[in-house]
Amino acid sequence: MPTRTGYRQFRGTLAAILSCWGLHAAVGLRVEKSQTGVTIETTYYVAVLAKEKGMTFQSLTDRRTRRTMRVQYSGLTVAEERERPTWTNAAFGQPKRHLEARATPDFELTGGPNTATLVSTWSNAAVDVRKALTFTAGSAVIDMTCTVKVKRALEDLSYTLDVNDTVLSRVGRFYPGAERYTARMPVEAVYARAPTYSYCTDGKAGVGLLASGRDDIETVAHMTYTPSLRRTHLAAYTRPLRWDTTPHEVKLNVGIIVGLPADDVAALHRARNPALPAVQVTKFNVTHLIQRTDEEGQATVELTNHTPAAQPVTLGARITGGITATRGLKTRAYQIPANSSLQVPLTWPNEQEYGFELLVDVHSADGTLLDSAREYFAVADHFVKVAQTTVWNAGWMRYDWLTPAMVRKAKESYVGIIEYYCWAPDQVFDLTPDTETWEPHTESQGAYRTELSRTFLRGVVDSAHANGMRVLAMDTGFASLPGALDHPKRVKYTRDGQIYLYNGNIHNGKRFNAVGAYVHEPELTKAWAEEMCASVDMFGWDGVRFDWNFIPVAPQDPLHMAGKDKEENIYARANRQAWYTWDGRSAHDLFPNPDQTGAELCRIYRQTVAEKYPDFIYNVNYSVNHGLFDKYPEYSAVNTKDSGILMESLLNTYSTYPTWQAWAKVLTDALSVIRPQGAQPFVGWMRGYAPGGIAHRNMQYIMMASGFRWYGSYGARHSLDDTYKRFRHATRFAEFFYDPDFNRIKAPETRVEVTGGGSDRVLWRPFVFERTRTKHRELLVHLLNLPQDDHIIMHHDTPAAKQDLVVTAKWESTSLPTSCWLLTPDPHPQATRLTWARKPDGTVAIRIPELVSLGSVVLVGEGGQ
Amino acid sequence: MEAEVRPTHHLQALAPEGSRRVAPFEPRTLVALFLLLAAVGNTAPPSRNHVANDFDGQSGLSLLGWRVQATPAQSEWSIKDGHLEMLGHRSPYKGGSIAKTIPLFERGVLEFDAQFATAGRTDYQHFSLGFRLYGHMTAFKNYGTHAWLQYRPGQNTWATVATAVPFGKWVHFKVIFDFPAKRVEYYCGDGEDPAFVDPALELDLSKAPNELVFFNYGLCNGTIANRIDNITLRDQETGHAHTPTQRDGFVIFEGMTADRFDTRHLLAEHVEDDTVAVYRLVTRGSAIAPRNIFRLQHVPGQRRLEEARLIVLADVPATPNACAPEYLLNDIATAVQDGAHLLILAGMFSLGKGGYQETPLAKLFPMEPLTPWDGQRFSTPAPMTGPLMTATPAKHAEPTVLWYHNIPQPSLEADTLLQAHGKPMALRWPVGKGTVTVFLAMACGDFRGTNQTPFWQSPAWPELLRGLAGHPAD
Repeated sequence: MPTRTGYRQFRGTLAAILSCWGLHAAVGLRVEKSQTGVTIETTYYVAVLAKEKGMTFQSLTDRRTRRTMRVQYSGLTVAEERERPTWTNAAFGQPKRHLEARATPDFELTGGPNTATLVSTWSNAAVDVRKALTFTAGSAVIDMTCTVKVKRALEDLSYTLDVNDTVLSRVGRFYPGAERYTARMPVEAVYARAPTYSYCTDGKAGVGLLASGRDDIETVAHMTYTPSLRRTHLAAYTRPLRWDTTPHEVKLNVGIIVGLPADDVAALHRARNPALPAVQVTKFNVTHLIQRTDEEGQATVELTNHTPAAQPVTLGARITGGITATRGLKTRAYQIPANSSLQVPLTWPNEQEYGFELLVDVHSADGTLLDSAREYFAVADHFVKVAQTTVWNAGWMRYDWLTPAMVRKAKESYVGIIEYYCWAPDQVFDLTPDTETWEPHTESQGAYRTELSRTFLRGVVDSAHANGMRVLAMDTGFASLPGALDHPKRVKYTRDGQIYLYNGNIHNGKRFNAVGAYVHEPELTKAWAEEMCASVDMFGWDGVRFDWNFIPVAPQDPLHMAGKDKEENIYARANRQAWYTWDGRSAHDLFPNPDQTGAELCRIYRQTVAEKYPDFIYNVNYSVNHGLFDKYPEYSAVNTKDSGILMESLLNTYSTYPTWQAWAKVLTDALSVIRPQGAQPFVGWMRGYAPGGIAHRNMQYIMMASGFRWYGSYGARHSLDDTYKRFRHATRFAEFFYDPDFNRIKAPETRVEVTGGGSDRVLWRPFVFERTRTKHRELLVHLLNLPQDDHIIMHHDTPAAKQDLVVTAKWESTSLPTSCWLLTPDPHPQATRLTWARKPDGTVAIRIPELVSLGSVVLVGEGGQ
Repeated sequence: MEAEVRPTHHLQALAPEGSRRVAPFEPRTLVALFLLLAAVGNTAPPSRNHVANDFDGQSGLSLLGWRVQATPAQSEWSIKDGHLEMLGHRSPYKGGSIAKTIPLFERGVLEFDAQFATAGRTDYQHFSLGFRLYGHMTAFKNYGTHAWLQYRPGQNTWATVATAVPFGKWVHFKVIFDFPAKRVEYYCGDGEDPAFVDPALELDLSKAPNELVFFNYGLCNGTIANRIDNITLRDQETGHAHTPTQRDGFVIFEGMTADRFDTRHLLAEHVEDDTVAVYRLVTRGSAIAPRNIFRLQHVPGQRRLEEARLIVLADVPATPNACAPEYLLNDIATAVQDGAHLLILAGMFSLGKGGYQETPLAKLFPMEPLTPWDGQRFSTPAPMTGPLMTATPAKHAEPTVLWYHNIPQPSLEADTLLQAHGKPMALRWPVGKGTVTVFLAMACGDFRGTNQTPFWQSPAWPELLRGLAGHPAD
């Protein structure tokens, strides 16, 4: 049994602490030891730490409510670097993670009358850890200070606190902001930059983390897990550590809060961070990420007064588009009550297309700048000009509770387009499910079994639209087995007389098969398009993304219809076999000119949908670099005109296109083919990289500089996966990445030369563009600061900034340039004026003082058409 | 700690005919155990009609008739804790073996249990344990999946017998061979169906060594411990020419539209579960070219078909690529000749569309010719009529058909059980001692807007199906 003989110093190892003691301080600190761990009690909480969990928390009890929250996991997580030091022709895997709760630390417990400190130390091949948990009488905060000697390269370190509490998970809200946020896994959490806190409370019990930002903690994250788990997740993360030279030391200081009202936590945050501005912009939300040209822009700013007195402030706002075209919104004055927040709406008329920055600044009554914030949005009716793309599928994205989090995460990462993958009961015969729920055919092989509902899908689309995002209905062009059996005349047959089954699976006794559909007659194609119109009526899709083609004599997979080995590859050989109609007519006989037929059918489909939905965007998985434009010129023209073109065939940066130069070449070559068509390319599904690494960052920069959009995953804003920074830049300066009027110059050396310090490690040749409009001419050169090695998928140190680069350009106009700019992404998208000089040979020499990562030089002048 | 579960398969293997599904420790199993122990103790020399080693006694390998042909550097073989343990060292292609002289059986059954890589599993990355029966070799390989492979010397290739062979527990193996028929069935685990059937094994018994050999392939990275137990070899004088005293089994092959026919459930409603065996046709991989890629997930052993009362082929094709292999179709044809009832439920993948024209079943069908393009559609759903419908309660909605196999020449000797708009929908005729029924209506078509009920959704269908099957439960 524990003893209560007063507080005394205790030192011991794991074995010594088995002696069981406890103590009781007069001011409300009580420590008990048992064979299984330590229990520490203050007036606010009871914390139980378990030896079997590496002396991390087993439970936390909020003493106000006497609610005990079982701790599912707490402690450090050490994520080792997954990037390999050299290129190996293979993608990266997952990082090795070390969990403190699985460690076997040595520890000692020390203290005085009002404090107790539990110090635990443990080591492994990657880290030496010394962690101290300090418990203070009369405080709701447990201070965790941790010093980690890092011996192997890490991606990051984090301190996690996951608690199981049914009420908290069902109704708890996260402060500041009083928001609920439910997701599936920590990478989907909401991340906030320190100094900050996250406190989850249901109004009674609560638990949270505080981070001051005065150590290596950079963000605090929170979420409620999948409802069935009844778990609340809190975590504090360091900055990325992969570029620190080992060995090095990392310090983490986190306050663990238990048992306070939300207002008291806010006060604690203010007290611990005296440098907070009196009034801060604590939230800033542009309502629509992508806005239509005829809509009024809207945003909301949350101003928080951190002082105990009311604060009179003025809020100014400016919108900047183009390069530096700025207009101010009306400055307004507000009175913010003490320790309170105020929501301020902003509106503005949109005047032009492409990307914008909305800057707000808050001034005190005496004109002192208190805080400012920037947010970004785009304006375009043809939304593929400005939006990055991701994919959600019915395997995981099928719960109403997940929609708010996923939409928010996508929007905060500037992902404008959601493709909903393989969702239909039948992708040819039934895009309008008759029933509230159905089982879609998943992937082309029916990879798994799942269920969707109309209410859910409508909710996804509505929620995306409410945030200015667009949703594409993905369509494989395959019929389902039930659809095929119901429509035997509208499917393809093999020479055996069998319905042609592309692929399939059996799940729990039920068959799911993908069937080649016969839609190669005008009325059948029209019927399919009309079914899509009806589906838009039902769900509100903004476009389609086909994984299919209208060419009647072509293999099912459109990527392999042509190419270098087009006569010999398995797809070409497959294509020499005819499919048949239900009554035995050969496709080879029926379609002597597949190019012409495909073009006609594609035209019919697009026209049919466009007649009812003119803004509907046609997207298709198509291969530009494999000779399709030569083999099927008429179809290619119709298929790509003003389309979104997914180039899945170009995604392989770890093997097929393993260097920066190789990938940039293949992307820009493809761009040169389709940009005259007004098409907007995207590449993916991107994979194989380590989130936030130089490889990842530069892949995205190359993608943007090549006029491509991303088709892949993205991390939460402020998480290790900092995709949002590139997408933010791509949004703000979408015009300079995606305007089809920028024509790529195919012999860049004839127009541009880049010299100066380190210019041999600057990638620019694929990225020279020119735009000429009425009395207006621009020369655009994207410059990418390359690391030492040309291979993409490997670890790269951050390349040193290049200094004093000179871009020398032929300016093919009788008049001089009027201005020159460098567009850069960090710390936020911005345009910096560059100096330039006309040289005696007529060229223009532009000086770039510093190139950190990506820099886009825009030389602007008169001339043009 | 969990007690180790020792295999008991040798009991079943030597049990009397008909005790195939007997659970361990039931009275008749104990009787069999007694008979086994009395007749084939560890030290008993090989008898004319069986060999048995369970390694439970005190005898050494040599006393049991095994010759160790290995150096310690190749492999070590010993009896330990009631089983044979092999420590196989890395010694590529020369890993050593143990061999035992055995009687020459033209037809027989070899069974044993094995537990793989009880030590050294991380070094188990290629071939390790193998055995040769009269020179016919199979071996186990852990490379991607833990597989059992059969060597084909004529082709110098390996065929996969079974994949995902379990680790960490005893696994039962059985090889039923009929060398004159060139046929071997391989069983892995406790299933009653073979994992693989080789219908064309070429083995010259006149040149084959009268040996059973277990060997170490020696291709792994380090030392691996494998365990073997309960080795039995018995003669099966009649081979596969087994004639059951009673046909009581249902064998259902489910093809692509079988779900619509719902054969499994409707026929199984009135019979015991363990008399129904179901084999499903699945698609395999991506059919890039317009030619389907099918396979049967499992195939029945010959015994299963010999005992079948009813065999249903529910929209199962024979082609392409012999997805219903010829030996299986031969077995079915033989079963029909011997008294089974074969019911063909046609669809978009069967009869002419299933490539049956060139198979042993074609001559059993009461119509000809079969063509791939005989699928036809009535302009409107056609009600089915005929003797079988007469037996269907009138209260049910009338079953109708849209798509059917249009058979130009039904045999005059066949009974027309069902028809629609004058076209035969179901034909039946006797074949040998058995019966063949062909249902020509397809479970296809869009009935929306017709106010008619597809036959497979009709309340009359269960009874209709039982009628097609000849009321097998009666």
